[in-house]
Amino acid sequence: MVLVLCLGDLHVPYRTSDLPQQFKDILLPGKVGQILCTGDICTKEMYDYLKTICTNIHVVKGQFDEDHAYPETKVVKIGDLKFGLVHGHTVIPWGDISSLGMVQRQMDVDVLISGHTHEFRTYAYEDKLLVNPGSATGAYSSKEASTTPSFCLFDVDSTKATIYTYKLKDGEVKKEKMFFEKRA
Amino acid sequence: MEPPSTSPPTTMDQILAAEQDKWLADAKAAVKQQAFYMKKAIDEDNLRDVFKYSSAMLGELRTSLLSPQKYYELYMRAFDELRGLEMFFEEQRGKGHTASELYELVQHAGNVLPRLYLLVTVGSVFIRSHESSIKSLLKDLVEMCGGIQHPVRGLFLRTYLTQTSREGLNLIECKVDEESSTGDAVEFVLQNFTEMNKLWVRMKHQGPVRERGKREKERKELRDLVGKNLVILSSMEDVGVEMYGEIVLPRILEQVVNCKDELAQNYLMDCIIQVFPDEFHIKTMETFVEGCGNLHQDTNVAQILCGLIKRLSNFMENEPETSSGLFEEHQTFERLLDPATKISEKVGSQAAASIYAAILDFAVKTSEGKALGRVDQVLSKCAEALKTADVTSQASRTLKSILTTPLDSYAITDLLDLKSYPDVMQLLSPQMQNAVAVDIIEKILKKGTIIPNVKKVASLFDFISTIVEDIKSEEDEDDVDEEEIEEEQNLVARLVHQMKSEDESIDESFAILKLAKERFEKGGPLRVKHTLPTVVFDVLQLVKRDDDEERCEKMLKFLHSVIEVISEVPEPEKAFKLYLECILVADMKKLENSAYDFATAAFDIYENGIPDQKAQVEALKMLIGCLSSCSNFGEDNFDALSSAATKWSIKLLKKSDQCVSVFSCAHLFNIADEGNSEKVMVCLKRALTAAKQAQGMAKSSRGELGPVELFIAILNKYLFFFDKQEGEALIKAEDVQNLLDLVSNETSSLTTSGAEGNDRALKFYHNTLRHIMSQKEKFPEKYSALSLKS
Repeated sequence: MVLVLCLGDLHVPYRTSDLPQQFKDILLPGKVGQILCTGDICTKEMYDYLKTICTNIHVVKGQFDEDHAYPETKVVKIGDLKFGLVHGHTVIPWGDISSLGMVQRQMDVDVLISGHTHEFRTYAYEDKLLVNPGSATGAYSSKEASTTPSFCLFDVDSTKATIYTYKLKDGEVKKEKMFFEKRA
Repeated sequence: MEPPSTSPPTTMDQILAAEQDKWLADAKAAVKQQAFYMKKAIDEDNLRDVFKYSSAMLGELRTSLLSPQKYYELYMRAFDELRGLEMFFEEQRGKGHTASELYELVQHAGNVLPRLYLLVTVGSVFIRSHESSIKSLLKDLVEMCGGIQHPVRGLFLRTYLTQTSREGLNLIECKVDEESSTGDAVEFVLQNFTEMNKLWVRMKHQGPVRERGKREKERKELRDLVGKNLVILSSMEDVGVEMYGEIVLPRILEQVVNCKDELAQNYLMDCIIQVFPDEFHIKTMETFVEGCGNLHQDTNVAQILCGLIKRLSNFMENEPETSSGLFEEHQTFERLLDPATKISEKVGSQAAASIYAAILDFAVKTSEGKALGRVDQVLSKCAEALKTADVTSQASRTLKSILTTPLDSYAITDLLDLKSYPDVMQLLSPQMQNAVAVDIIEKILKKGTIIPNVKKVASLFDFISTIVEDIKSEEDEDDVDEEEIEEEQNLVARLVHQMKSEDESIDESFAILKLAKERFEKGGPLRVKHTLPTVVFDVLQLVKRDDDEERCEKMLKFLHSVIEVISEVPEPEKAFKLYLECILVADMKKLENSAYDFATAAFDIYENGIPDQKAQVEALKMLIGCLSSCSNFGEDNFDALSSAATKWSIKLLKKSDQCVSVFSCAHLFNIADEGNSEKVMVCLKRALTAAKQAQGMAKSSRGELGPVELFIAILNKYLFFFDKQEGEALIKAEDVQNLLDLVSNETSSLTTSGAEGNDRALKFYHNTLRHIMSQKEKFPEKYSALSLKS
């Protein structure tokens, strides 16, 4: 079993000043085995911070990332699940399920993780899973009226995953749980 | 041949030390021997012999051979014997001799030093006898002791007087003697103190100049002999603050100042601070501080003043209520600050800085409510005093602590009212100024403090100007550390989110952000590219929640000016992305003209500013994504924008890029909208052409989509629109089927080659087939015409 932290769209410093303390208190070093980041980390300082949580980190390039070393897409196999990682600003229309579905087919993954919209969403697409962990800092979005800080954790056990979602509402962390299993 | 030496070589110091030990041993033996005879005479009640042998014993104290420390040992030895002698004289008084007779008798001793020791010894018996006024006896003794002018011998004789006169002083205090008053007792101690200090200071000049250092060390060890007098004065219960202020302190200071000796001044001033009560200091502050101003230039006045302030601060901590009343009543702060300022101008930068640090600490601890005004006063005086000084690195550290200490005691928003804070900061090196600025910013971020209005924000910018503005001259440009600047500016950028109206006033927040832009522009290109984007996003947030259309347009117009600055850095890609964000918000607010203006600006950058092909492909993707998210453009405007995007897509250099970009453009048009649905088709067909052209050209390089993948992607796009459309308005099942067959053909030739790109294409293909199957299950009717070859 591996615990995988999935987050993105931090947008520090341009849109917000930091990760909420409530999240920092949860994301202690040594707890997760891998990080899948949907990009728009924006600064080296934030990347270094993520590295303190876990050094095994996969990042794709967001619209405002200036680090050209980040790839556009990335496939990571964890347990028996293939995770696809893409920021999402190149998936047009933004956040569109069918368009994300095409990316899932193209990347040939079981779980496609994308960001950019700053809106948390999990969607069972055919027999696959589309996940958008939202913005971990609750960063402003030019599209959405308001943003709720969020991220999620995958507890991966071979072909199964338990997904814990964390959202910060009115200063309190709300936690939910869901399951995903890859069909044979 | 020289004979081998039998003992290890000895240094000069060791030889001298051995000599000293020998001399001391000899002298002590002599004292012991004469004391033996003296005690024998005492036993025999032989007054004449007692005089004879005690004189001989005390004669040993006339030595000039011993160092002060060795002399001290000898003195202690003799002192022990003198106590027996005093008891003998006391007994003699019972046996018919009067004290005054004995007092006369001892004056016949031959040598002056033994005579004076005997006189002081009998003197204490005399005092106890009530035969004469204590006052006149003490006066007599203290004047007679003037007969010894040798520094060490005189100092110890007077020490003996100090010790033996305690009883007399106590008697005066108990009012046993009507003729003697507390004033007389004080006068005696002050006189003895003055003479002792003179002797002590004179020690410095005895002997060769080259041994001055060693002598000063020896002298330092005798300091408590002089200080003892001050302890005695402080223990006199009848010496109230009035007498202290009018007589005691001025007289002590007179001697301390006049002796012009650094060692004595440092020690005695500290002694005054430590031995007398807090209340005395508070009430006589002016006298003391004035005295400080008259000390020798080598004396550490700063340390003395700091000692006084520290003592007062401790008083505040231990007895907050008593002390604060006293401090306010006697205007301690004011009385401290003004003279301290004068002193600070005469001392070095480190000393001056430490004085201000101590006063600041005092102000912070002692003056609730008034403290901030006082803190500002201290800072103002400090900046003034050190403005032209050469600030040493040690002084800089002290100044830095002056600036950072208040950060822990006060709310930052209150500190921003301190007008002199930036002036003190100016005294530091640029590096240190930066460190303080970083401290301030980190404090604000950590506490989540909101800087709520333009005035406070302006002041904050003054505080941290060193980090915000480009102060480096052009010569330094080579050693600019861009990474360091980036890190600092990211911190500054985060700060912008803390600058906003607390009651959600959009006007106030906007005014703040306008000011921020103005200040950031002074930072030059290296800084603005990190700081200004934050201003853009914070203004966009305001626009998003503002219902006042006119104000929104004003704010959006302002953003043009901000992004232009970023564009001119030059950071065209960043500026381009920011324009896209502006388009989205303006479109959301249905401010079509503004949105169109931003689009025009973005297009201008795309055409003239994006440096290379790869960046153009990226930019175009973002632009298409942005436009496809807009929903409020009028038909004509949107037509112009979408046509431009499509045109540029077709113009891209690589066919694969053309293909992907142009099928993305298909999403710009609403398939349900009759006027536009054709355009979707045009895009898809254009993409197909590009894919075919790509296929005809050389093999794709690594990482790019191969032609087969492009075909599959286009197939997916066809499916997308096929699914979205009503019926078969635009895309016929036949079109999809044709494409499906094409892809099927292309992929069948891939199966055996096994290259990475082929493998990817095959998986993509199979996943697409599964998707179609899934759609057929869900919508059997719509998809019935599509057949999948297995």
